[in-house]
Amino acid sequence: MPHPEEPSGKPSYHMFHSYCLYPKMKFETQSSDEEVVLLLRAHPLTQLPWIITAIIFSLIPFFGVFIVSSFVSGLELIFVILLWYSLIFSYSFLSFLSWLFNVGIVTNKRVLDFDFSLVLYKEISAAAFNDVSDVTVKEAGFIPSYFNFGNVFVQTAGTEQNIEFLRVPMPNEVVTIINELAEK
Amino acid sequence: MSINDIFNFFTSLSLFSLFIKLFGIIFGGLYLLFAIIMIRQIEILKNAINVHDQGILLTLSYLQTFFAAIVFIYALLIL
Repeated sequence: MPHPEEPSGKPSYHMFHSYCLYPKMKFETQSSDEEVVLLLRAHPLTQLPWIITAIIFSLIPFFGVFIVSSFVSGLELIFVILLWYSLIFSYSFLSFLSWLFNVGIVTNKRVLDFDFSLVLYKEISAAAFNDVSDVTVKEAGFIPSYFNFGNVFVQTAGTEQNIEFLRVPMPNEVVTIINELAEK
Repeated sequence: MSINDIFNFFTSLSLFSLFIKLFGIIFGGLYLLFAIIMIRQIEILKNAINVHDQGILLTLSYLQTFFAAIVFIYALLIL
């Protein structure tokens, strides 16, 4: 199981970069003595719905063109197909960006959650280990249990907002890492 | 172009074709605007989290903008 043993370990990437130990990356509010220990993204399996949707919609013109061509002219048909595939491309691109940039980060000092809703709305939540009161894992259902992904909830003390890592791989290992860093 | 020419142009199109043309122009324009905004948003995202993508994300964003421009220009000039 991937697990950090030393404070400055060797980078390792798992599950299509959805579980990264000591990744070579930086983020916006990172301080000079802060090191990224863990970078988390949603498990790749959770991205299948939009991938399958894009594939299915890409195939529709091959069957639908015979029906649509009886209503529209050739130029209009080309326009419809052009628009159709442009929208599929945009949908796929946005979905990928949403997966890529919605991350959870655990550093040697704190825990952060980057949320980008529809790419246009940004929310960054952070909590120092001193403020972390409880870390919980929720793994419900056959598929999350079989493929080992789930939700990690980091509860913070007082009125600070809680942090959530949703549908991340190896959630139990994530909790172990956070607890070990919090004890230091 | 006189008013008569504009009038003749719109009456020469069927109602459905006119609808497709107007829809294409308006939607294409909004789509193009969205694609341009996305370029800037991706730059902001990359500043927030430094992913080593070798410029692929911006390239895809420019590609999206290109598609949007094609759709808009096609609706404006060809339809």
